[in-house]
Amino acid sequence: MSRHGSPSLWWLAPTALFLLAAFVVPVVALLDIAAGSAQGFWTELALVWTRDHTRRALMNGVLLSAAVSSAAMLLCLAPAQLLARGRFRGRTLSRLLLSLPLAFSGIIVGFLAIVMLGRVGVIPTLSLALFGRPYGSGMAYALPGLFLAYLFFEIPRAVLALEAAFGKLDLELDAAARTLGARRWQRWRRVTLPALWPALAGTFATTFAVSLGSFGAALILSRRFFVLPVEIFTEFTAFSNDAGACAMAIWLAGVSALVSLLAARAAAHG
Amino acid sequence: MGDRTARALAAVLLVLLVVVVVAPLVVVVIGSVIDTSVLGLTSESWQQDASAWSWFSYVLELYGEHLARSAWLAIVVVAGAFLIGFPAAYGLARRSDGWSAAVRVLLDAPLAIPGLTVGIGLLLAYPWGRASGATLAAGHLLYALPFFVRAATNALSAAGLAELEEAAAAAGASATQRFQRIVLPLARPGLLAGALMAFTISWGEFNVSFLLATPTTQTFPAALYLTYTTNSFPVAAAATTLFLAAATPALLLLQQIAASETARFGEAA
Repeated sequence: MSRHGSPSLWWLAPTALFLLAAFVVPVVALLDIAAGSAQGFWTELALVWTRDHTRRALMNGVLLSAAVSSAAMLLCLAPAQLLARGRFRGRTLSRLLLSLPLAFSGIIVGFLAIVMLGRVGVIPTLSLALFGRPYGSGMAYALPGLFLAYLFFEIPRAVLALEAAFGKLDLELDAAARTLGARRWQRWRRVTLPALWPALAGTFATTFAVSLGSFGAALILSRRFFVLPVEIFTEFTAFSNDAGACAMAIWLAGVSALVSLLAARAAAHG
Repeated sequence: MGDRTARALAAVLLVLLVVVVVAPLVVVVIGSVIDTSVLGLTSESWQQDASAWSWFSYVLELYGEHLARSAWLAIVVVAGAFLIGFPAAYGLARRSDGWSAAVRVLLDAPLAIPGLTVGIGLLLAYPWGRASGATLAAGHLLYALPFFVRAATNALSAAGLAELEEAAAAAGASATQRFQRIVLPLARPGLLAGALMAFTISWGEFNVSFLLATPTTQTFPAALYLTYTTNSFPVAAAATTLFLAAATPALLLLQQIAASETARFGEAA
C-alpha cells in the first residue's frame, strides 16, 4: 500500500476477479443458453409468461413473498424496537433464539412445518387431546402452512435488520419532539418513521428476495401451490430443458433485482 | 396508548416470536432422543431394545460422509473468505471511489439473485468444475463473501484504526509490523464475526448446493433432504439435531461478539 493516502487498487483485485468469474460469467452463460434456444431468446422468455403454468408459479411466488415480507415486518417491528432499546433480562437470549433460523435452509423449515402441522403433527395431536378435534392437521402441505414456513425463516432476517435500524436512530430527535409536545403517534409518524424508512424498504427487499428464491421449503411442502424455483429445478434436472429453465431463472432473477432496485429508490426518495 | 401498554404489547409479540421459532426445534431435539409416538410422530413401532442414541450412530453411519464434507466445505469457504475478502475489506475501508463502489455493488448483487439461478449459471459456465466440487465451493463463497466483507470492512473502518496505523508508519513500523501489531488485534472481533457468518451460511446452504453437487459431493443439508423424504421421524430428527449442534454454537458466539462489541463501541457495532 502507498504510505499515505488510500491503499492501492490491488487490494480489491482478488474479490473483483472472483465475482467476475463466479457471478458475472455464470449470469452471462445463463443468458447465452436462453439466447441459443431454437425459439430465440425473446420467445423463450415470453413463453414463461404466456404458459399458464409458469406464469401462475411466478405470480404465486411474488404474492407469497410480498405477503410474507409484509407480515414479517409488521410482526417484528415492535419486538425489534424492544431488543434495540430495552434493557431487560433475556435480551441476548431472545436475540440468539430468534437468529437461529438464519442458519436453516428451506428444507429444514419444511421439515419443522411437517413436525408441527403435518397430518399427525404436534399441534393437531395436542389439539385432538385437548379439544377433541385435530385442528391444523395437514396444514403444512397447504398454503397457510407454506406461508408460516416462509415466515419462520424471515423472522430473524426482519428482526435483526430492524433492530440494527432502531439502534441507529437518533433518540434526541424523539426527545426533542416530545419536549415540543408531540404525541406518541405524531412522533412515530413524523420522526421515527421517516428515519426508519430506508431500513424498512431494505428489509422488505431482502426478505422478498429470500422468499422468492427459496426452494427447499416449497420442495418439501408444496403439493398444489407451485413456485418458480421448484419448476426451474424440475425443468432443469428432470426434463433437461436448459433453455426453458434458464428463461425461468432469468425471470426469477429479474423480478428479484427489480424489487431490490425499487426498494433502493424508495429508500432514497422517502 | 401509554408507553407501558406499548411495551407490554411489544414484549408479548417478542415472546410469541421466540416461542414460534423455538417450539419446533425443541420437539425435534427431544424427538431425536426419546420415544415420540405419543405425539403421533413415529409411525412404525419404536424398537424397545434400541437405545435412543442409536439413531445418532445410524445417521452417522449413513450420512457421516455428508457431515464431514459439509464441515470441510465450510472451512474452505471461511479460508476463501479470508484470503480474498480480507484484502477487499481493507481496500473498501480505506477508499471511496468508483472502483470500490463497483465492488460493493457486485458483492451484494448475488444476494438479490436466487441461489438456484446462480447455481444453474455456474453449472453451465463451468461444467468441468462439478465433479471436483469447485463450483460448489465457489457458489457457497459467493453467498458468504458479502457478509464476511461487510463485517471485516466495519471492523477495519473502526474509529482511530487508520490514524493509529499512520502513527505507527511515521514511527518507522514496517507494513508487516503494522498489520500484526495494530490492524489484526483491533479488527479481530469483526473478522471472527465475519468468519462465523461465512461458516453458518455455508453449513446451511441448500439452494446452490442441491443442484451443483453430484452424488459424491452432496452436502449435509442434501442428506437432510434425503432423511426427510426417505427415513422415519427419529432418524430425521437425529440428523436435524446434528445439524443444529454445529450451527447453534456458531450463532451463539456471533451474538456474544456482537454484544461485547456493542459494549465497547456503543450501538454502532
